[in-house]
Amino acid sequence: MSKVIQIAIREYFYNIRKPAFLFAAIGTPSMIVGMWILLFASVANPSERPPVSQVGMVDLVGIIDPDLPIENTEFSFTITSYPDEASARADLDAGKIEVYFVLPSDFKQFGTLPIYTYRELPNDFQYNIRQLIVGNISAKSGITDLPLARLMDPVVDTTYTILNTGRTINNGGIVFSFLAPFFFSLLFWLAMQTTGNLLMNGLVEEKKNRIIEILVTTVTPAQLLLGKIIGLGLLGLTQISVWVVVTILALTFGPQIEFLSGLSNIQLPPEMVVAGLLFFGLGYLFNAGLLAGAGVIAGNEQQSNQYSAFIMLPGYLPPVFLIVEFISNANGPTATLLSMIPFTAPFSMVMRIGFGVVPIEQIIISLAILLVSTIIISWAAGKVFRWGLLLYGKKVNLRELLRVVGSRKVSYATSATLSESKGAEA
Amino acid sequence: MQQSAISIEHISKTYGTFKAVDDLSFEVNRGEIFAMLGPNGAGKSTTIRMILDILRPDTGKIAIFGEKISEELKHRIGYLPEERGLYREVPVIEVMTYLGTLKGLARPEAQKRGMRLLEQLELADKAKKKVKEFSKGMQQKVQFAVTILHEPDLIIVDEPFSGLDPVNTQLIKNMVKELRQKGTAIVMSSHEMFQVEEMADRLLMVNRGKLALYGAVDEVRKQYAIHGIIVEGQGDWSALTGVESVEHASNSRNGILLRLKPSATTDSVLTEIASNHAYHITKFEQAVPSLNDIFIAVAGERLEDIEAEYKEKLSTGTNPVVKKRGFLGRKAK
Repeated sequence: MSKVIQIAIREYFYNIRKPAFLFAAIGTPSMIVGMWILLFASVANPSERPPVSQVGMVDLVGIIDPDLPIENTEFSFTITSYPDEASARADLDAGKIEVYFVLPSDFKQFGTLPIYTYRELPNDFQYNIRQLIVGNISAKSGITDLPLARLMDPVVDTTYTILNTGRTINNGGIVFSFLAPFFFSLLFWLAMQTTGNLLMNGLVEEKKNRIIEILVTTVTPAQLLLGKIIGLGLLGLTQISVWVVVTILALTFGPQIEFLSGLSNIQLPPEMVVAGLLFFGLGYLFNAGLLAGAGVIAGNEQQSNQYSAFIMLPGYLPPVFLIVEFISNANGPTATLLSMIPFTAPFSMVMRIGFGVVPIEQIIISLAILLVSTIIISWAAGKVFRWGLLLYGKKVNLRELLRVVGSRKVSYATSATLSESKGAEA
Repeated sequence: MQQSAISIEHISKTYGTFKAVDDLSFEVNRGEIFAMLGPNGAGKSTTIRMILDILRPDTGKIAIFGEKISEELKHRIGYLPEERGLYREVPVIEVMTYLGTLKGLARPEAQKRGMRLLEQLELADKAKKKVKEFSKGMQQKVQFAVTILHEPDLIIVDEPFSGLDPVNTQLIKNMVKELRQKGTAIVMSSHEMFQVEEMADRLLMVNRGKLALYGAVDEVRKQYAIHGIIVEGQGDWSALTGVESVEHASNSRNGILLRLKPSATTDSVLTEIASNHAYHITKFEQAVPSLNDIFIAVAGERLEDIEAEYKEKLSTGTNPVVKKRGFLGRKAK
């Protein structure tokens, strides 16, 4: 056991200093967070354009009475009425007005509103015109007991509370409440991928520089594999802890900064954190087995990275490309199926839990499938691992691998054992 | 009673139809340097891997210090593989410490011993340098240090001097001799016979997986001694009554090998030379064959020929299935 611990300690401290790890652990999430902050900042602080003061109007339907006083409107421009577009255009070109809009004769049918100008308009100009139209219509209809704001936008905010979990999602933060589970899963997935790749590339390195020859006379393959998986698993956990702490800090202190106030809408439900640890923890073990096997039979880093893409991307691409399915129908067939397949289960299930209420029995079934698959993969990977540890630069075909997995007792293969036994068969 | 370090009884190992090791038996004692000799592909590495429990023999028994190999026993073995290497991106002393802890040493102890060995190898000032910054010779020395770091009772070194310059070869040889004095059993495997000739106490010669020769180096040499003498000097050597034939001695520069008639002795020839003023000698010695000569005499074939054959076998048609197909059975271009 102490050898396993020694290997785990070594893997942890060796890899935590690696630039590849530091980039993945700090660089990637920093970039994601940075992009988010930019997004918040630009949404919350739109650049202000100078207001308009002279506006022309060509009302071919006769909805608007320019002299009608409308309460509670925010605009401060003067409206000049023109009988046709040509006269309005002449005044625009002469600089008497800055902009004119047209209510075309088919406005009642289609509701299109052409606007002509030579300058950039303030962001709320369109809204002001709509206020003007709604104000005129309501005045003509004799509606007096509703403020203009309610006529413009009767429902400003909704909240809905999922009574099973007690979580409340309000409408204003709906985009963020949906994005949060996605980014949360993404970070877990990144941690799993980083550590899995470190495991695989470490093995490739040890084989390439032949230190494996010394290791196998000192530790058993099982000790080596277990030590690596534990050490790198702890590394992944460290990575996630850092991110969770950063997230909690951001959610606690972020909203105090004005342009980050949107962060207050993000919730990190505890059940999602627990599910993330469970599913991605098991997912890590599942992938670690596959990646260790791949690392052992890959001849070089290039080849091992190809294998790793084969292994890791199927767990990530389907849920990401089908994210709309998850948002719109978290308990639908696609999302449910993806959350049951071991490869895609971690990413999919954690997103589903973030987006909606997943029946507990589904969570248990998915966990059970993942657990059983992990046990099978570990068992098979252990055989391939022992078999391939001392094999250098040999291309291995699938039939050979299946034979190894199928054989009852596996011992180290060397180029001698492989070539001679194969030569004899052929 | 002297307990043997390695005791091997009738081991065989077959790969497919190829008998890599064929009914091999030998013992290695404590406090001796044991040479395992033979051409490339003779089965030396396979035998070593069986001793180290990397491969299992098909038949036969192997005992290390009288016991079956176990995890505890592996701590008492130091192994310098033929294919060697270290973590490249890590400071030398850290690599040594890590491998030491895997061999059961406590961290501080492993580090202390590592530093001591680096001092011995004149590398102490570079302890914090990364392995990749080391020259090949320096890496070899570090590798040797790793092998003996945990003070094993048995060390097995495969081609120990390959790639080392004469100065460093001598440095390592001296350390090996020191270890022998402390009672460590040392197995040295080599296909270059002259490398281990002068240090080894006993030897095992294997050819094509079979035991070719086994015994004390001196005994073996005596057994294969030529009835003859090597002289340097002047005179008509063929005129001497005890001499059957005269030839150039293969392993000396100016030496002349005098093969003697069965009736003649070294003493009688020396007396004849000394009593005749026509002869002048600067050197007179018993003709002793080199291990290479002995190998040729024993195996009936020359080392170079066997190795050339082995190389050819490696490069052609060794593995038709694996060669032609890539991963998942796709045809590789």
